[in-house]
Amino acid sequence: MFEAENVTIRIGSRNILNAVSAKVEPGKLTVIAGPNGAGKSTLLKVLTGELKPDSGSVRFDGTPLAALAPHRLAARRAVLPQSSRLAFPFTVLEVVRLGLECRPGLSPALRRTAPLAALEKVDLGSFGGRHYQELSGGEQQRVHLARILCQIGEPVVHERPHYIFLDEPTASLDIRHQIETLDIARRFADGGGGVLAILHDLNLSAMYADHLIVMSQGEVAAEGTPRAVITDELMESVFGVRLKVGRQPAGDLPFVLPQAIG
Amino acid sequence: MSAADSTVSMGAIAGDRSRTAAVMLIVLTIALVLTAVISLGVGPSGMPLGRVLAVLLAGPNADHLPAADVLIVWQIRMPRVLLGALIGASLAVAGAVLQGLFRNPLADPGLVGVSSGAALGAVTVIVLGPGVLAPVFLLVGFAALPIAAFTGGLIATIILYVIATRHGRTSVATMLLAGIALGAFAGAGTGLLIYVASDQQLREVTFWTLGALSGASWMKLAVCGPVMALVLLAAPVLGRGLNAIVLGEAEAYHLGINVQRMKKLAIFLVAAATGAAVAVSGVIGFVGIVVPHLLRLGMGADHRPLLPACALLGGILLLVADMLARTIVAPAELPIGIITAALGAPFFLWLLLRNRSFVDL
Ligand SMILES: Nc1ncnc2c1ncn2[C@@H]1O[C@H](COP(=O)(O)OP(=O)(O)O)[C@@H](O)[C@H]1O
Ligand SMILES: [Mg+2]
Repeated sequence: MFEAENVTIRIGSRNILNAVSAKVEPGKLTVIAGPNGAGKSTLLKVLTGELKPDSGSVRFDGTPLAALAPHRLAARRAVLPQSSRLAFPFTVLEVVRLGLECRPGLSPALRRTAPLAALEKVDLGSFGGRHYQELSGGEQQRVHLARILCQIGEPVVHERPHYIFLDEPTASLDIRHQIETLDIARRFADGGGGVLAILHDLNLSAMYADHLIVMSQGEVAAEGTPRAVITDELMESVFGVRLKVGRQPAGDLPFVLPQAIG
Repeated sequence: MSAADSTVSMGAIAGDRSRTAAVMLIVLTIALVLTAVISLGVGPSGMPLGRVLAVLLAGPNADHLPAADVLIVWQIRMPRVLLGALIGASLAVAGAVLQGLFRNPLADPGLVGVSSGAALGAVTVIVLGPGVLAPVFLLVGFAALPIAAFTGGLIATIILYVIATRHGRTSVATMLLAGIALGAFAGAGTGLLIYVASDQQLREVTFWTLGALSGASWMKLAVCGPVMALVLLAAPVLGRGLNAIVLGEAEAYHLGINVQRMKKLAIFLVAAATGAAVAVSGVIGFVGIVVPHLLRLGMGADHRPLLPACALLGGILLLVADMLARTIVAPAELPIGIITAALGAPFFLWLLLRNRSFVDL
């Protein structure tokens, strides 16, 4: 389990994160939502060890992150960045293979097949030979998803859960690939792994999240099941829109329609 | 460009270029050996290939062959060819490592002031060695020059990196501009030293700033050769890290790379390679940018095969440039830096024309 406790990140005189606590638990799909600039990416960076908090602690299975060597951490968690540009002409297959860099013990056979299987999973099975730089933004994002799937392997290995962190994985995807991507995340969590995803779409969040964290101005504004969190009051106080939250007849799932603005 | 054009499918798996890379490494190895043997025969007193081979096989102490031939091949040309190959290899590898570190194909030790820093170090020792720095000179002996060149290159690389990189992202514009400033500053220092130099020192300094292999000897090879050889052997260790850092520093960390340690090693190796090369041959430009770029076109950007391939092609390129330097105005000879600049600069311009997006400042 990844656990941030009372984490504060200060840039200049401003607290980008203000005493935030959050958990990423195995077997669960945790979603962070919130307006632009709320501190979602920053919280994800703190949880992955990319940013060191100014105060507060971040632990992985009880061990402070700072005490873990990068390669040990990389064997248990993978991170999908918000955007990524490559300076050199790599093929799609070569980018996906970068995910294997931290898995020295892998058998040669798996080393060959794992990248291909990962590309299949993200619906890019025939893209291996294409140059990464010539793909569309959405396709590039899926290449990186394949890369981190390659890095992390199975959701649970030797009874130890693995984790994936996704920063806006659906940002430039069409609706079908948004759903497919979140299905991959869902299956990873169902398989016993831990998932943290930042999503903008509240409806997708409601559909997929086991646990929803809504952030606002560097703080956690609300958290819990989507059902409990997504309310008319939250829409107004956090997102600044007066919008009636709908309820699906079956299952009572909340949904929001921009048309419902009042 | 259509999808089919841009598809790379040389190996059994689409997009897998490791087989192409392996073939290129073999071809380049053979080509380097051939170029080296041919270089041994080229010079004011030309020598047919057969005779070169005979002298080579007979060893440096053969007494059944003309003494002049043995002397020319073993004492004059051999150290020069070995040094030339090592220098070319070091410069190309330093270029590839610097480009990987900065995630930019335009970084080159010559272009961004690292070589100028090394040259300033070398010139400082030449000019001040007999005077102000005499005690230091006595202490470290003939290693003073390479050490000074290394220190100059190291300082320049560190300054460059600190200035051009913020939050794990490198700004190309800042890197190139900082490189110009560093080069100018080092040039000013060198100019100042030239101003106080004696005539004899002046000749030596000119040699340094133009780049030349004519001073090659077994002695220089013994001092700088091991440094360059060590760098070339150590560089492949960086392959994994440089591959990962192509995605960005944060991504490399997520992939399990100890980024800080890897960056330090990379900067140290670039400074050592450039320093050693500059110490024996002065500033030889463009090898570090042309060689990695050509190879990436042919075999892709995977640094594991790329770094050894750079060493091989860098060696070949410098030997060819040296042969030109020795023959164009024979029996005199041109500084090799003039040749590499005359060939490299147009190539560099072509590179910019072909792909302007490299420098989206
Ligand atoms: N390196 C930085 N320097 C200054 N401000 C930053 C930096 N990184 C993030 N911020 C600011 O912190 C706030 C939160 O950023 P971020 O976590 O990226 O937001 P988001 O919730 O949209 O992902 C934003 O206002 C952003 O401008
Ligand atoms: Mg963000």
